[in-house]
This record gives sequence, structure tokens and C-alpha cells, in this order.
Amino acid sequence: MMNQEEIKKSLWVFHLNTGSCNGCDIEIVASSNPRYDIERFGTKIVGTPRHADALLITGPVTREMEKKAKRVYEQVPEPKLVISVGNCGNTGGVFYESYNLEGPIDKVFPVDVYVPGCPPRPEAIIDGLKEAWKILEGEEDEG
Amino acid sequence: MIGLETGYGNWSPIIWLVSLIVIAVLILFLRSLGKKDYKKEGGKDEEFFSGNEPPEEGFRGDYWGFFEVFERYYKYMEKMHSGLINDYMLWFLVVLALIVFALLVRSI
Ligand code: SF4
Repeated sequence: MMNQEEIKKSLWVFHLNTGSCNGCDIEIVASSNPRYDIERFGTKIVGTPRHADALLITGPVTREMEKKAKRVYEQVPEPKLVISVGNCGNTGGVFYESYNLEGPIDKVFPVDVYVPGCPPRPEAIIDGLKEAWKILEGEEDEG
Repeated sequence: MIGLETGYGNWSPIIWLVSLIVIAVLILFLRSLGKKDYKKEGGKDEEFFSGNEPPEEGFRGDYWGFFEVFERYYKYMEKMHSGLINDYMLWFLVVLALIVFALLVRSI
């Protein structure tokens, strides 16, 4: 368990839907509500990838979204992380082998943290954020 | 002292200058805290346009959708807004005449 005092820097995330059913997106919204409140860990959902440390991606990456997702990924400044939220993004999930998929996400760009679930509970999303934060802080220390 | 003293307060160019210098120093300090190795490639220095490439021509900021939808209306309105004071005075007179006419009709 991580202490709130240990968090010295805040992880800002940009939420991108690449074709999810919206289940995961609703759980992301739930994780930012007063009950789960990711902001108490300093995590904020920002409005542009240019302000983000990590991408919070839902959905299996449909053909239409591939180019756009790549562009959003490119627009996140270095060092950046990708958190795949939900089974669709991790493996294709219920859309596995669909004619319309370019994903799962790690076929399009590297994924650092996988959050399983269909949809994952807010606790799982918070755990994923924590893992991402740890990776990013580790990188910063080395660099 | 150079400046202006009125019953409502005072204004001094020196205070303004000092404040501007303080603000400039603050901005430069905050800027210097930024990452030096920031790379601009991959569209990082372009507008975020929901993952789309920002259109090269006719990109009118965040309200592009608004302008797109109301394009016909704006084109029509732009014609009226020529920027010539004579035109504006004409509008003023026409509207004034209409109001006076309406008031006259009502009072009859
Ligand atoms: S993982 Fe499940 S809840 Fe999330 S987008 Fe896919 S189908 Fe929907």
C-alpha cells in the first residue's frame, strides 16, 4: 500500500476512448467522483494530451481510431506512459477478431500498464494509476 | 513624483514598470523550470484537435465547429459589417427611423 505522503509528483492523465462500449469510460468517471476521488492522489484528468503524463485508453482501437490514437499518443510529451483500461484494450475483449479492429492497443503503440476487467472497478483503475506513477517516478530518478 | 493623483486613487508609471519587471522575471523563472529536452516532433506543438490534423486553411481556433455550422449566417453577417463608419451610421439611422415609425404608428 502506498502512502499519500510518498506521492511527491502528480500524475496527470488524458482519457482517450478508441472504440469502447463506454463501460470503462463510466468507471473512469466513477474513479474521479467523490467516493473514489483520484484527485486525492494528485491525479487529474486533463483536457489535452499535451498536458498529460499518461494516456488512459479504453477500447480496442477501431480502424477509424487508429490514426487519431497514434496522433494523440505522439502529442503527449516525454516521458509518457500508456495505461490500457479494460479487456478490450488489453486483448480485444468481446470485440476480439472483429473485422474492424486494428488493436488491441499494444499492437498500435507500447502499453506500460494493463488494467484487467470488463469493465475494471475504480479500485483497479486506481491501482493501475499507482503502477504507472511508480514506473514514471523510477524513470525520472534514473534520468 | 510622476503620476496621477485623483480622488479615487493614484496611478504611477514607475509602479507599473516595476510590476511588469516583477511579472517578467516570474515568467522567465517558471519557464526555466520547464524540461530542456522537450521535443516538438509528432505534432506536439500543434493544436490538439481530437487526434485529427488541424486543418491548414481556415482554422479558426476552438470554435471551428461553431463557425462551420453557422458559416452561411456568418458570411451574410460579414457583408453587413464592412467596418466603414458611414455604413454603421446608415444602419443606425435606418433602425432609428423604424423605431420612430413604429412609435408613431402606435400613438395614432
Ligand atoms: S472492456 Fe468491457 S466495459 Fe470496457 S469497453 Fe470493453 S466491453 Fe466495454
